[in-house]
Amino acid sequence: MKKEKALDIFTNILLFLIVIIFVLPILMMFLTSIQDPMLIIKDAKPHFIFIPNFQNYINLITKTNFMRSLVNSLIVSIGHTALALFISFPAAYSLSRGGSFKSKFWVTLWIMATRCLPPIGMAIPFYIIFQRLGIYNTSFGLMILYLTLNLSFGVMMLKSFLKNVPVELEEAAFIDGASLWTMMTRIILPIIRPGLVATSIFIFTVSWNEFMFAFLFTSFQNKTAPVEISSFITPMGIQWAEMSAAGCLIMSPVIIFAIVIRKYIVSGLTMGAVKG
Amino acid sequence: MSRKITKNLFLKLNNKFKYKDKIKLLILPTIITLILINAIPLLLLIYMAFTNWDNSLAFSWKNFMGLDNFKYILTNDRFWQSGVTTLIWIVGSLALELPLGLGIALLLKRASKRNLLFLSLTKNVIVLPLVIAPIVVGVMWRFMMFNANTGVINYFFRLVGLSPIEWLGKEWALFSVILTDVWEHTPLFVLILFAGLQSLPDHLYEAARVDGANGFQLFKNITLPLLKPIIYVVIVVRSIDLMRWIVTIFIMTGGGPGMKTEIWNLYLYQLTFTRFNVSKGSAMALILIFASMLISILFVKMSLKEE
Repeated sequence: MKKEKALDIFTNILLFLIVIIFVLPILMMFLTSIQDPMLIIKDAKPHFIFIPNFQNYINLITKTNFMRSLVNSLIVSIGHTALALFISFPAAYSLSRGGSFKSKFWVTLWIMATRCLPPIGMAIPFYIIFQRLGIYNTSFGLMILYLTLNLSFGVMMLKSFLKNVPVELEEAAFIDGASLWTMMTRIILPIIRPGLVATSIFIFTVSWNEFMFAFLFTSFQNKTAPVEISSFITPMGIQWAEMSAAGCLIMSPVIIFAIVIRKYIVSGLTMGAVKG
Repeated sequence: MSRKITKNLFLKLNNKFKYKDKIKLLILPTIITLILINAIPLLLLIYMAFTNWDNSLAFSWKNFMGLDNFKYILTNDRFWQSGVTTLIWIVGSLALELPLGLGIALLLKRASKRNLLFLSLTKNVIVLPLVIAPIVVGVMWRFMMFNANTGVINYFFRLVGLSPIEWLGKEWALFSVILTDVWEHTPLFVLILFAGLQSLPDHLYEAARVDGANGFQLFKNITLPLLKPIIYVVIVVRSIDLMRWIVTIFIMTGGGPGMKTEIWNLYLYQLTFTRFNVSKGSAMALILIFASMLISILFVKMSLKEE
């Protein structure tokens, strides 16, 4: 028993160290964002104890374009999440309830395969198509582009949630004469609401965080927040204060989401291959 | 009477059949979307790889080039050099992330069995790197951790009397970007392997313990074999993702210094979007797609063979 106790203490210490390692970069970014930028440049070393001030945040909001890019990010992410759910929910329903039709395997494979393509490679034809269609450098274009990243997540995650809903419920509704539409909106959607929330948070997070497509496909007033943060690194120097404050603003909503849907993150990231 | 019932039943069955068909049709929006966002761009990409688009990103019918673009890529030293970097990047990241992730997952398993103090804190903290925007991860590691003067790592190095290292300089840059990825993605291994560990049946361990097996034997003879399928899943998911990765390296080094951290995706970016060798880039993109498909098939085959 004494050995077990000692092992417990040892495990606790290790876990504590792990927590420190995983928190340290995030903490450093937060600390940088609430200290006077002159402090960093003057001493050329990180500070852990200082008088906090929120001037960096005020400067970021009033003196740069960051707020506009944050609004852009919000529009793109919300619009894209709605679009992705709208397309992937019927598909997930069809794949989990439609019995075993011949093309099911191939459709599933196709959906999964979209996730394996290198984004830079796919950006090349999209660049030409979007310019031709006139949706280059628009929020709408990004909403479409992010489907290449999120459609597979949406379908696979919703499918794994639908698997847990008993089919008998739908059969009962069917015998009572419910149409497909009533059944989906009145029975299925309310039941899988937690799954729907988790899936939409997941999709929202991916599009909120996305950098490369946004970097290539938007400029000027249409930049999203992750693109705007890279503009604080200029050839003239690095705007430490604004950059770290912007980083904190980008990651704070997502951190809250992550803790809310922690349970579902694993099955989301592996597209349902592993249950969390 | 009985005829009526039969007729009714028939109608219902008939109705049910149509109903199932309707459900099957619900897949259509996704198929149309896939054609629009996947099939058409891919076909265009293939067309571009075989024609001459260099220095232009506007659509028109171009001259057919045959295999010239592929020949250019495959005889290019820079392609092979960045291929080696990509290989080091993928293998290095996996080699660090898998054992670390397994170790932390085992710690968490023990902590959850003994209901230890730091369990829920660790579980909550460990998801953070996965959800923070990769661009922000890149920024915080480049400026807050690896910066030669103001970075925390060098600060601790000086505290304990080690000489500071130029982390993003020539010698250490590749290691540093791999380390960043280890911080960012070890949690994925932890979460998945922990979920796997939780699903292993307890009675096996009890039986083995009664037979006098020690901790290491339990791990080697029970945990590892049972965990194998899940380990394969993580490795496949991660290798595909590492193959597609670009953002953290893009913001931390941009492929430099020199070409020390230039992975395939970064070279592809250079080729297409800064030098505008568009059709050469398309050819390279096709090669990358082919390579990542090969990797996934290889791993699936390997894991099937094991079973």
